[in-house]
Amino acid sequence: MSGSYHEKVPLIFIVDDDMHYLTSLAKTLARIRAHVKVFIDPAAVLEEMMVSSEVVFLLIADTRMPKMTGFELITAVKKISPLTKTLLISDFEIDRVIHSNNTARPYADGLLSKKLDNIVEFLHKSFSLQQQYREESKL
Amino acid sequence: MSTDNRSGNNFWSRTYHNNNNITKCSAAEIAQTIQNNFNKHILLIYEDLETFREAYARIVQSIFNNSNADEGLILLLPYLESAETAMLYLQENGVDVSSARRTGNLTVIDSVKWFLTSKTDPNRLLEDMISVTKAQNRKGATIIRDLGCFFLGEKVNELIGMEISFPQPTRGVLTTICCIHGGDFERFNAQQKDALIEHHQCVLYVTNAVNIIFEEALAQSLDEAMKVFGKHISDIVIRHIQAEHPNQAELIGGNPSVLSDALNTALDSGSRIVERRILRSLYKKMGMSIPEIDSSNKDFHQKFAEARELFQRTKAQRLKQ
Repeated sequence: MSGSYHEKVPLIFIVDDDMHYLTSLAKTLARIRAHVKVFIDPAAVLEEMMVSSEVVFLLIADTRMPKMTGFELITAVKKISPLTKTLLISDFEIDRVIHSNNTARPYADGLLSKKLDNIVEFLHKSFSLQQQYREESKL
Repeated sequence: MSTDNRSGNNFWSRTYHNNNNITKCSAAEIAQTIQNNFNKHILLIYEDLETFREAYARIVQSIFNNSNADEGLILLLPYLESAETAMLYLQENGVDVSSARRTGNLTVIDSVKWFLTSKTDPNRLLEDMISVTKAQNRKGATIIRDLGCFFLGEKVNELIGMEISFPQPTRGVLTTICCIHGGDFERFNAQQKDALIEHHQCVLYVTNAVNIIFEEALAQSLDEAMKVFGKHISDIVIRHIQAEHPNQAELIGGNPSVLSDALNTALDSGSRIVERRILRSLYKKMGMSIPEIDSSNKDFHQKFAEARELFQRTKAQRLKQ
């Protein structure tokens, strides 16, 4: 991948402790023009973000993970990289309630079910917003 | 199952495992281990989700296979996966989930709903379950409850409080298996770990069979590698690990830095000799030639991780054959 191409495509991190789901999601996102990195360990995401020279455009994180919950991860990520968008994914409606009840933590930019179509749709919307922002910045 | 039998006869295994409060076993052994601890309050620390799935499936199968219809009552409270996924896994592993749910023998509920959104004290819910068990003339009930949800709700102190005040009278009727992912167990501080271990009658670390075999191979390799320094130095290494990591749940094979630190403390630069010997021995046990371990720039952790991964792959293939 050349440097110029790399600059144009957004960098996306995905973290989920379920390897099967992670593989499916990564395959689905391969259709999207983005540089996707997958992680099974939330702590590894933070380590990578610390050393990454590139701003991570989007972090997609499962809410329920061992070692660090998705809520804790996005709190830490917002401190390291405030510009990074965060999307929490969960199969549990109850996690949405827990997220919205905890006012002490930063909210994620989205909380979706783990259905692959939902995530792809969210990404398309985010990319078009990003594009719109860039074009407006040029004016 | 006793730790001593499983861990082999070498000095390292005997000393290290026998002084640890946590009994290591494989998911394949779990059903028998639980049967041996029937009606107890058990802490089960699992290595990963796949291991947990295998463990609860074996426990459920064994209870249903060993009791007459309607004798056993099981409540499964998963956290890292949905109740639907857990039921699907059970179904795929030979449990007639529909029938068991219809007869009330099996109930699967998201642990977050059970512990975090219910207004009733979880220990009170246990007492209710005992009443149901007795009223229905059942032999006993088993609860498999994942406690990881308390991290999601940021209620770790409540979790410790619940475990400390676990009601004594339930112990004659209920087998309560409190489960937690190893990564979450390591999040507790030393006092919390001590409290959890003290308030359970049996503490298990469940891993897959291949990792248990690796741990034994590692113990043998360590024993061989340490021989050159004698029993005294080996004692120092073990004592260092036990002092620095008194209630470490993870196997040493899964966290080589613990071993590496202990070797450095006891042997300083001599630790490199032991590390090389360990790696050589591990590769020998796999029946493979040693890669260029001395000349590469990788540190012990990386080389060890590579050896472990190779061991797991090779052994898993052999076990499948």
